[in-house]
Amino acid sequence: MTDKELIEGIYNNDQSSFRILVDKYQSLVLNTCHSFLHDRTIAEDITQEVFIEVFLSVHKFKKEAKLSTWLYRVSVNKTLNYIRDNKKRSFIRNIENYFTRKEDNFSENAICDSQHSEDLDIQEERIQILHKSINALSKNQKIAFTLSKLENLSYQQISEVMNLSLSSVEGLIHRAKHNVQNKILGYYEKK
Amino acid sequence: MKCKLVSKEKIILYYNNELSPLQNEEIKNHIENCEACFHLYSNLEMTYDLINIKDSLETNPFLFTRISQRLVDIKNRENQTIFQPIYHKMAQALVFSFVVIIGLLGGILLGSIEKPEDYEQSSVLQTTEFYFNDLEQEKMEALLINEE
Repeated sequence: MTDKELIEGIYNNDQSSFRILVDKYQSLVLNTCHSFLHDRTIAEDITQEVFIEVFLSVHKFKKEAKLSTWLYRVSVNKTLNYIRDNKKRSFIRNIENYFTRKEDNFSENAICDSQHSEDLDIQEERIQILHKSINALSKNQKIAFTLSKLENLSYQQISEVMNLSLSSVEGLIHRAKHNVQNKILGYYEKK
Repeated sequence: MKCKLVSKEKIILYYNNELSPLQNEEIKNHIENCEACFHLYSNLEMTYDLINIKDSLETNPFLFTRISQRLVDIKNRENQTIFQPIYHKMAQALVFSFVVIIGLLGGILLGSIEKPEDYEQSSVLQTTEFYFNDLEQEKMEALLINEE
């Protein structure tokens, strides 16, 4: 079944077409979400959200567009929205913790941190540093860099997903690469 | 320990092979002989190279079932939310009109209660009771004068 036929099927409320689409593109959506989040459980939740969005707004899909591009776009948007909302939630949680259990948290965090750093081996620590460096990028740099380096998308595909020119994507990825490397060096310089 | 001879930017350019051959050679020699720069470069290499390790996640066989269930929930919620406001508004209007009608009927009933027959007499009695001070008022001038 081609992508066009799948979209037609979903448009006509055909459950089997939707099932085929989910099975065919589940890996793409799940891995894209995971590249940004680095958390399987949350990535799975967002994958569900993505397919629900696809099912509900299939009538908005331009038939001449590529289905995978649309799926990448929805996945990236949903994931970044989650990260944004989660930042707000964790900020509020931090304020609440600060006022409610300030002293307890300080001591608990200190114990946790020391245990955590002891438990993490060097490889895990490096992965953490890499993720932190990528997360510190600006929104567009993060999208372009993640899709290119972690999802192996071509510059052409990224430009279609992000709706940007090819040269803009190239510039974004180049700057993002330097910024990530700069962050990594900064971390080891302080050590 | 920090090296003042080579900047971070230079190390990055060297790592990405973006320097001229001459500069490339210079930095290469420096890194080989400088402990601080070697530490930075090797850590950058080992950390950034992790980006090439791809771990593709296994797909979930129950994903479609979960999505279908959530879609059913969404539809049910939509149906509820379509009818709920109508029911809510109708119930509100009924309660308010009921309260107004009760209020009006109460007012009419209170107004129509017949006056008792001895109403006039009792009022007269009440008014007479107010004349409790029948004492003759003294003149102000006489108040502070001792009687002889």
